[in-house]
Amino acid sequence: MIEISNLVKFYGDKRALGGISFTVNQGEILGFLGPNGAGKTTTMNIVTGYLSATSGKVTINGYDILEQPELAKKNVGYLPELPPLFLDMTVVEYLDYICDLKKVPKDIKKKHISEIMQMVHIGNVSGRLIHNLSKGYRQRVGIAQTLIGNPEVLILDEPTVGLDPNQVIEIRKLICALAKKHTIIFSSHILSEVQAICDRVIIINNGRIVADAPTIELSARMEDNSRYLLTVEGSFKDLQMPLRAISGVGSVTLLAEKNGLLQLEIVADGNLDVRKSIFFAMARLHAPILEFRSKAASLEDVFTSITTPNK
Amino acid sequence: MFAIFKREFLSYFRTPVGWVAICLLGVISGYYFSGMLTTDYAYVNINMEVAYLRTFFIILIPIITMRLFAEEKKNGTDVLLYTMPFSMKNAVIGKFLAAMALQMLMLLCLFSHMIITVILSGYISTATWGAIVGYLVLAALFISIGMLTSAMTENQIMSAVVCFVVLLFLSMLSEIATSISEVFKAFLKFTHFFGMSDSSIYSAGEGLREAIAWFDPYTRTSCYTTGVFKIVPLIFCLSFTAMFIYITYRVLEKKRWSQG
Repeated sequence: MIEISNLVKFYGDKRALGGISFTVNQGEILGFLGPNGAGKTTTMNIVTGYLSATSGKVTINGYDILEQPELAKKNVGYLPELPPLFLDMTVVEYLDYICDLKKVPKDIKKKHISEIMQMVHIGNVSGRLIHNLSKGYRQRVGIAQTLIGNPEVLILDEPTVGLDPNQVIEIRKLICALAKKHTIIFSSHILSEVQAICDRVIIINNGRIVADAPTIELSARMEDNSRYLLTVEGSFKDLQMPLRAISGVGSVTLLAEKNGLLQLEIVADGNLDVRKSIFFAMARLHAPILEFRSKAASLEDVFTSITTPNK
Repeated sequence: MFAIFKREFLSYFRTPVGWVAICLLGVISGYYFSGMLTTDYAYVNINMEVAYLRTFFIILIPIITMRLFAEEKKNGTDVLLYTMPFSMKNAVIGKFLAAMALQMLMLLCLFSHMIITVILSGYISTATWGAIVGYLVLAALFISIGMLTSAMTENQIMSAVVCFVVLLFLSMLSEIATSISEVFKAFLKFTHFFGMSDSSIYSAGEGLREAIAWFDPYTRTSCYTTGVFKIVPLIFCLSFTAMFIYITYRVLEKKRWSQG
């Protein structure tokens, strides 16, 4: 469990964090979002003890990161954006070194390393120099490093950046598997990924939390029941007027027209449900409906709407 | 601390640095030793060899210390030093000991010369061991300086250059002290400062020279190569070593508070 209260960080005169507070409960995967320079990495660096806050408090499983750093850090596995790998070491040597740093008892070290290598699927490259590994494998070695010592909390700063789609899927699966036993803070720029993995999302902007809610709730918050997307066969000229004539329909906009297929955005007035009327109107006009759905906002929309000043 | 020491020491041999440093010292000491052996009287004095090797600190120490922290910062692996469950003090001491261990390993060639000397019916005096102790404490002082310059930058070349300049300055400190004292004396004479007499001016100049030269580690530890074992130079070197190690620790800790 991570508790962050009123975290403030100044770099000279520049305020990077302006009083951030949140709690991550045991077994939760928290998505940490924000535009570049919002303060995500600074927050993560403070939580892991890499940086000190100007003021505020961070406790990990009840241990204060500044007052009891060794106990607090024992509970944290941190993967920064650039994995901290020694390229001149083999994978096993590197993990053995991390075991020594994390004070893993000697008698269980070998078994522990082998279990982690199996978990992140790097057993086949265990004897190879890290320098000779692909980016995907290096990222996995970085994740393996975070798992050494079985820390309860994992902090992953953009773990899928620079990976090819297959590697992204694999790492995503791995994170989901890890979530069963760990509390995870996960930062990413790929919002669909956060949506797929995280239970809860925190969006920060200019060093302040601008949204903190379960992922589904955050998307639902932006869901707009008065907007519909309609894909229908026919011509816009023939369909425009009948659609506008339906009681409750405010506007009809043509989004795309291709091969006789129209994609329309229909905006209803107030909270009137116009879906049935539209269906019957299209049936009367012999215009087959190929797709008809209400326009739900993705996390991308939420993110853009919250972090763009003029919205 | 042992984990850091082990990784750092072994990494000297994963890269050419360790091999180059050992070979360099081997060639230099071998050249000097063979020179002594091939004189008409084959007079071998290991103390002299140790004194000769000390002059190469200004090249060897920057080579073995430049990467200690600079490389970690450049590669982003310094994150491990800050986020793992141990104190930064342990990291600093571990790295220092690794560099010292390499320095000791480099002395193997010197020990081989001592063995050759004994085999050829030569004599190794107790003073030689004193000279080696003097050599090591001076190495410890210079390694701590090199480690500090490495902690202050993420550019290894910059770290090596700054360390080289500092060690060069220290090796010339006696000459620099003499020059400054001469300038000081000339200034006092020229300005008739408080109407000081020539002898007072001389005393003031000499006082200044001695004050500056007091910091010259080469002069302070030169007694060891002449067979005199004093405790004061030992304390001088070790206390300054401890001071530079502590400053290195503070420089690294400061990063937590000021990193941009």
